Amino acid sequence: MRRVAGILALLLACVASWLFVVGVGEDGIGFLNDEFFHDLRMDRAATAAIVGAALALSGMLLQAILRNPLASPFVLGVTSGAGLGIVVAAYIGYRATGELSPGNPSIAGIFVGSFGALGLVLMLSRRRGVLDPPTLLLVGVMISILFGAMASLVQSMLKDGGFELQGRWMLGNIDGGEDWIVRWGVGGVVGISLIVVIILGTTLDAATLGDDEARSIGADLGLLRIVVFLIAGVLTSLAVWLAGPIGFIGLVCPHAARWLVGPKHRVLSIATVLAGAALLMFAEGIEDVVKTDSGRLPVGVMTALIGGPVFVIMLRRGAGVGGGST
Amino acid sequence: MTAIRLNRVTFSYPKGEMVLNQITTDVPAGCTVLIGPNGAGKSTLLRLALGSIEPQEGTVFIDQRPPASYRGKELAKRVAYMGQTGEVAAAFTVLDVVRLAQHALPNVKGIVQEAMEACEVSDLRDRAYASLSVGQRQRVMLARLLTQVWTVGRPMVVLADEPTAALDPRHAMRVESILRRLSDERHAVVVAMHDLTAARRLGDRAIAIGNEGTLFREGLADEVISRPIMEDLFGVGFESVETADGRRSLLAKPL
Repeated sequence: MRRVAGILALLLACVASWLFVVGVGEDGIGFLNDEFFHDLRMDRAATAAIVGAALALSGMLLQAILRNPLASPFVLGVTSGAGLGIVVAAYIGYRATGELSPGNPSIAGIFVGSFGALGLVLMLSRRRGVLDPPTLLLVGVMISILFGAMASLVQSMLKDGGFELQGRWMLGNIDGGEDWIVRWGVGGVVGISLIVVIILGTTLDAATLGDDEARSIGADLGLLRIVVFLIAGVLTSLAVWLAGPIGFIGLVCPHAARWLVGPKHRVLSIATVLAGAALLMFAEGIEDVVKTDSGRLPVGVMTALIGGPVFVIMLRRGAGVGGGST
Repeated sequence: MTAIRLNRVTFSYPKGEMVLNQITTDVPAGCTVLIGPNGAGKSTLLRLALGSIEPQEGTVFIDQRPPASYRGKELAKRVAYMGQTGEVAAAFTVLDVVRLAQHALPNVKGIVQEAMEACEVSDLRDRAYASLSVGQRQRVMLARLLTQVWTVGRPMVVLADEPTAALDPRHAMRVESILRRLSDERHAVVVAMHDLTAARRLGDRAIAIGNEGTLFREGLADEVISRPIMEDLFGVGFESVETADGRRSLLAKPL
């Protein structure tokens, strides 16, 4: 009953967030008559939902497989790695052609950057051949800072200090300007990933025991880890490809979903995807309402402003954080 | 019949000192207690039998194959394991945790409840596992292990790492009786423990691991867990006291 109610609440949140993005803007409430701007809002809502779902699912997978409630693609430096990949690829392109194409990031650069960061964090966090959770987080944060600084360094070597790259690829932004086939292609990958995660749900439940106990009850953690890291890396890379590095979605949404539907991964994965879609659409909607002197706020700023306090509140209430109460 | 066979097993963790050194032993059905000082390698030996780790030298066999070669359901049907920490990184209820035992096995009804009753955790079934005391968690983990063993329904290897370490005397005796029952059901039960009186009471056989990870002594529990051997093993004096049931209990003397 609790699970059904939780899923229904999140579906409602998704619908409300979608209406907020599409129907509310700086000009007030109501669907726009201008077809171009109406379609643009629709596209942004769709991109936000897909990116939010991808980042949230990626965060849930990393938290489950690393048995660490603070794990997320942002905290572990995966999004920073993808950001660095974009900037390095842009720099290579700039050196080769003398031109910058900020609207067309290198997907190869993103994949190399995100998987490189993930691999580096996992490698440096091992002690006596075993992943050490506190070390994992510290190394993740350090890699995140280091890769962020390296991206700034490379960016400073670009034309005009890489200003054109700044808004989207360093802070995260949703403009809905990508081809529909790209957007819905990524949406398809998120959907397939969700199905795989639902199938793996009971094994993810078993993985919450220690490695040894999980092995003894028949959970093959070796294969599970490969699949989970692969899915988490791909989802994060594709999310960054569409919207740049956006934080907090992957950290907060799995906890919010856990709070609503409990810890079992089959239902949790569905709830997490819905929570991610709802939160990023909501953040995108606020971004459209709040204008600053320098234009639209990057959506990454909004997610941090919303997600940070929500996460602290949930932590204080012990809301389903690993080891906490149901 | 031999359930676990170790032949010249040597193991050390990466960049660490040698933990086990040339251990050769056969573990038959029945209850075998593993004793030895802290850090001697008892837990490592259990993990080798589970196949979580593999020896650098020598071989470990369960049913003619290295345990590390078993995967998924194959392993769940052969080896049940209960570690020391009992950590669960999710906000599961007690019932959720016990049910995990049937992850790769058929969901045979009634066994979960029977195992929970045997371990006296039925009244905790809807409590959050994370809210339990260490002793209660140990009993829940034993219920999970029992569920697995009874679901499989044929003799298997049962490994328990200090299963009574955090228990009050009543529950410690309860757990001992459960392990004894498994032993009587022809499972090969291997229990690492420090309580020598309990080890002597519980074990048919005993394996003593020395400080350097060597096989210090093995044989019948009553013979191995004797005053001179234990004094040599632990480097402390013991007093042998006769209990009301005519058994002998070893009490460590103050240093």
